[in-house]
Amino acid sequence: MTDLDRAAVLQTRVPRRRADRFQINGYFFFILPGVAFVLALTLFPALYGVYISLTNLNLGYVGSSFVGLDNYVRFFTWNDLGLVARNTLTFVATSVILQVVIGLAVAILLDQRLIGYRLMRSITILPWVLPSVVVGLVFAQIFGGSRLGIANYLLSLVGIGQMSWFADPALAMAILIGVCTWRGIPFAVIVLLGGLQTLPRDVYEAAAIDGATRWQRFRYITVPMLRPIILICLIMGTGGALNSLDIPLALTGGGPGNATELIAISLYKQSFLQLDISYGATIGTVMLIANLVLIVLYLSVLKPRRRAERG
Amino acid sequence: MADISVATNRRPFWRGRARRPLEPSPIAYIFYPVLAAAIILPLSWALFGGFKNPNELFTYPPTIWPRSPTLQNFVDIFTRLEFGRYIWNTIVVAFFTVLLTLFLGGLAAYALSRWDFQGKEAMMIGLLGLQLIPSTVNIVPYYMIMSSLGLLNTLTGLVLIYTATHIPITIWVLKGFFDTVPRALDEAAAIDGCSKWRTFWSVIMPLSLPGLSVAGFLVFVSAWSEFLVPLVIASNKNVAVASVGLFTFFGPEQATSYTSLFAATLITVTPVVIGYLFAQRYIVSGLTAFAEK
Repeated sequence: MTDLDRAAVLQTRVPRRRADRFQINGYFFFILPGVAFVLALTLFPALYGVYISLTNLNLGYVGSSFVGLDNYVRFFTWNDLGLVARNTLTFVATSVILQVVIGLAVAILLDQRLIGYRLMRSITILPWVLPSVVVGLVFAQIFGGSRLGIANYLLSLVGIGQMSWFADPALAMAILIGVCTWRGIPFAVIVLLGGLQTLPRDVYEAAAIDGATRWQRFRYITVPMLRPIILICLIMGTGGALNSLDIPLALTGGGPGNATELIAISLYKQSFLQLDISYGATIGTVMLIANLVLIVLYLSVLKPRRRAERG
Repeated sequence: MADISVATNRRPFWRGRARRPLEPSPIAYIFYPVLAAAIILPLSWALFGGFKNPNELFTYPPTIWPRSPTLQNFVDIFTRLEFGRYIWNTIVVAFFTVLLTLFLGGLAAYALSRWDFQGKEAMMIGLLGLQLIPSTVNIVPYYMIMSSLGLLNTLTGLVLIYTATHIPITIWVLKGFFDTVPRALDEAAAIDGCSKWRTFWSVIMPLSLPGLSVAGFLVFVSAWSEFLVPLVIASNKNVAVASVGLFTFFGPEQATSYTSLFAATLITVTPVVIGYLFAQRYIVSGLTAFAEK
C-alpha cells in the first residue's frame, strides 16, 4: 500500500458518523457495568448519606427513626460550629493560596529548562506520590511529640529555644497548613507546568521586542493566558483541602484541644468515635453541598476550554 | 554565520534544548538547592531513621546519618509487629483494584470511543463530576453499605469502593488512548468475523498496553495510599492495609519505637516511589490531560 493509497483509505474512513439517537446496541453492554458500578458506589452513597442525616441512627443504639431536620438544627446551633468553621476557612484559604502561589513560582522555575530540570522536576513531584498519612506521621515526628524532634534542634542551632509545637494552637495550625501545602504543591506544579508549556512563544517574543520587562511579561501575558488553569488549581486545591483528613488526623488529630479541628475531622470524630453516625452524615451532607458547588465551578471552567479546543 | 545561527535557532548551552516562553536566567539556579532541600531534608530524616538504633533517636544533638546502621528495625516490624501482613493486604487490594478498574473502565472507554450517541459528552462530564465526590463525604454511607452487605473488615469491600471511585479517571485516560487507535483495525476485525467483544479483547486491548499501564499505575498509586476508607471499613488487624497499620499500630500513641515507624514507612513508600521513577513521564502527561480535558 503506497502512502497515496493510505491517504485515500483515510479519506474514506475519516468522516465520522454524526451522533445517532441513543439506541441500545452491543456497545451499551460495554458501558453498563462500569457506569453502574460508579453510580452504585459514588452517587448512591451520597444520596444515602442525605437520607441517614434525616434519621437518628447511632451506632451505639439499635434501630433508628426518621427525625426530619433535627440534626441540621443541632448542627447550626452547635457550640463548636464557629470554631470549626473558622479553623476550616483559615486552613483551606491559606493552604490553597500558598499552594497556587508557590506552585506557580516553581512551575515557572522548572519551565526555564535549565540543566538538571528533569531531576528537579522529579524531586518536586515526589511528595505527591507519598501516601498522605505517611507524610502526616513523618512530620509529626519531625516536630516531635516530645522536645526531641529535629525541628527543635534546628531552632536551637540559630539560638531559639525549644518549642512544644503541637501544644500551641496557632503554631499547630501553622504546621498543619505548612505540611498540607508541602504535600499539595506538586499537584499544582504538574498542572501549571502543563499549562505553561502550551503557551505560544511568539507572543513572548513580540512582547520582548516591544521592550516588556520580565515582570510585565509575567503579569500581562503568563497570568492572563494561564487563568483557566490557575482557576482549576484553585478549585481542585480547595476541594482537596476541604476534604483532607489523612494529614490532619495523623499530624494533630484536631488538637491541642480542638484548636485545629476541621470540619472533616468533626465528621470523622462524631461518626466513628462518638458513634453518632447520623450527625456525621449531616456534616457530610453540608460538605457534599460545598463540594457540589466546587464540582459545578470546575466543570464550567473546563467546558469553554473543551469547546475552544475543538475550534 | 549569524544568519545560520538564527536559522537553526541555536541557543546557549545553559538554556537547554527546548523553546522557552520566558527567557531563562541562570539566577534561577539559586532556587534549585532551596527547593530540593525543602523536599529532601524532611524525607531523609525519616529514611535514615529506619536504620538507626532505637536509642539513637533520643540522643542529643540528633543525627541525620545513623551512627551504627542496623537492619534490626526491619527484622522487628516483620517478625514482631506483623507488618508483612499489612503489606500483603495492600498488595492484594491494589492488584485486584487495578485489574477490575482496567477491565470495566476499558470496556466502557472502548465503547465511548467507538460509539457516537447523543448525550455522550454529558455522560463523560457526569462521570468526571461523580469522581470528584470525595470519600470523606461518602464515608458514613460506605460504612453503612458495607455493614449491611456483610463486607466490613474484608478486602473485597475495599476493592469494590476503590474500583468505583477510580473507573471515571480510567475511562478518561483510556478513551483518549483508544481514540488514537485507528478505526480501520476494528473494521478489519469485523470483516474477519470478530464480534465487538473479540475486537475489544483480542485486538484493541493488546495494542493499548502503554495506555493501560499509565491508567493502571495511576490507579495503583492511589489505591496503595488510600487511608480514610480502609481506616473506617477495614480497621481489623487481619485486614489492615499498610496506611492503616502505620497509623493505628505504629502511630504516635503506640508503644512501638519511632525507628520501627520509620522502617515501616520506608517499606510502604518504596513501591510507589520506584514505580513513580519509572513512570513519571506518563504520570505527568496523564495528570496534565486530566486537568486540561
